[in-house]
Amino acid sequence: MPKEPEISLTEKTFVLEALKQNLRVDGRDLQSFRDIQLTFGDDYGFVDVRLGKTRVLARISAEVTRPRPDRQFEGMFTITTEMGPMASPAFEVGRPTELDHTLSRLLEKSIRRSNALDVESLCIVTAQRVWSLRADVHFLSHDGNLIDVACIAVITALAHFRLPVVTVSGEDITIHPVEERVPVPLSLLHWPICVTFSFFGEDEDGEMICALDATAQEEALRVGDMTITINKNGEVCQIAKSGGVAVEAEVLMRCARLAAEKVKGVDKMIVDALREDEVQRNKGNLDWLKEGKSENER
Amino acid sequence: MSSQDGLEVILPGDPLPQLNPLLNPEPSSEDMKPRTLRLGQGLALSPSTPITPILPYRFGTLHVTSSVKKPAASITSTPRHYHPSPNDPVLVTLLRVTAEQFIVQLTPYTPPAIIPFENYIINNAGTTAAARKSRPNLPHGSTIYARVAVVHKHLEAVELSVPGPEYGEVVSQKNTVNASSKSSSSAKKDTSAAASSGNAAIANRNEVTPYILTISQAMTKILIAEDTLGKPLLSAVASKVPFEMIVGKNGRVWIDGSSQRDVVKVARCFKEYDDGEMWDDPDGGAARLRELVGKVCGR
Repeated sequence: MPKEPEISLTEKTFVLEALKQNLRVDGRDLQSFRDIQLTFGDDYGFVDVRLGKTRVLARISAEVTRPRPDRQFEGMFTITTEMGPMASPAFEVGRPTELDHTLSRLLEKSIRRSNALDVESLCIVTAQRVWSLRADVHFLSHDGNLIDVACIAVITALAHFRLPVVTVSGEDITIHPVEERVPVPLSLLHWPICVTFSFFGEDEDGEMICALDATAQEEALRVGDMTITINKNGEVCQIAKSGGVAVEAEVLMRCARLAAEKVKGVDKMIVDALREDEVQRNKGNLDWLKEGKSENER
Repeated sequence: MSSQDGLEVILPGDPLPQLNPLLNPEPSSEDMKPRTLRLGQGLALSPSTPITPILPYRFGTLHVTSSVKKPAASITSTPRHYHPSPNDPVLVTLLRVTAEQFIVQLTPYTPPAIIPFENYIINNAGTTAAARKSRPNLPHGSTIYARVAVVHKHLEAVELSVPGPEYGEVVSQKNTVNASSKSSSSAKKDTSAAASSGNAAIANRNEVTPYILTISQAMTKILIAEDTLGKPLLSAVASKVPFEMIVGKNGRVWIDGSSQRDVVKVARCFKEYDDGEMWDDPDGGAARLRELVGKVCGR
């Protein structure tokens, strides 16, 4: 199996020393993200997220199935992540790395278990028919921070996706094609966004050096990491810190506050991108404002 | 790769009848001696095709030097990956040391290369690292500036050599090696700005300043050709920030300057020039380069 490339001593000492001076090789400071670019596909629910050189594709698809017998009112939602050698030669098909497990677990915790998607709204006929939603995440290029990018990709794709309209009359279920009835957006209760902090040990003053949005090089050199999932209202959905250097409560609080601040920016960026796509998509169509919504106005 | 200047792109296995006159030169009146045709990179002898006995094994453009004295032919291309060929200067990372050789990483995700101790010359007297006494004690992960010695498809690993004291370990910690001794031929100093004061600053630094940047093959070609292809970039950067560099053809460049901030500036200029493929612009990237250097280094 191809190993991760060896990082030379020169790079290692330089990056670590520079971080102590709040300096990074790509010119950012420790608390800033790289530029995020969102591109939408022709279909609803297809999004391509780029963050520096990291690139992740997410695609939502839906089909009608029978619900689970123990959860008859709920639709289904699964997230599958796939890491192949396209992202990095160190990833192999059929042999998941540690990062693979962490990633799928974190997405599960952040998006599914935080009830971002109202699964009850996916029910068509109780105990008979429900929508089964599937989010496929593909990693095209790996330059660090896959977790945050994957989370942004899934949330954006869910917000972009439109479900075909279903009418039920008696026993008959009709799924209307997109051309016939305007499809409706999913009912998203909130948008959890992951923010990963990388720790690089303490500087001369005993302060923990923590950086946002680490590149692959920085990820290879860090001594610990922590992922906080938070939404724009400042509600923490989960905190994951598996191993690595010990972090004091004070640092954790500081990270959480910073994450809350960052998430507001990311959230706004996603809303703007979705809005722009909607305008683009409905050029020349004056009826688009009348598009259906499954959620109540709040 | 587009064919520039009307040069034809050659694919691996294409017959090259244009080389035949160089192989069997007609005895001219002034020069009766047969000359040997030197094959450069990308060309190999193929005894099974007697009509065109030389076949390309890489894609690219054919370059022929049909001088009477030294005829030579080679294929040039800019592939995505580095293919070692003899005499290339490279910057490698030490992985481990065995009883006879240094095991080093030439390019990521490939089998390691080796530097046998007898190929590691440590001083001008030609002393090699073969004796335990003269062997440099290099820490794991240190960077060695070396040359490719032997590349053969039937050989397990690419063999490198350190042909003299101007090669060898490049500085990674403060004051371990005097960097200026390395800059004789291959390391390139700033061209204009503050040549003297810049060097003094570099010698007196008390930070860990050298950095190794990974760059594309196209960029490597540009940086190696410091007086031609690389001139616009290097002089633009050097006019703002004094720096030293060593270019390894395996896509790595060692950069040193007077402070970490300066090195980051140089690295960012190189990286963004590389990522933006600015050399492909119609104006040779001059406009974008000016904007980039202004943005990164300030006015």
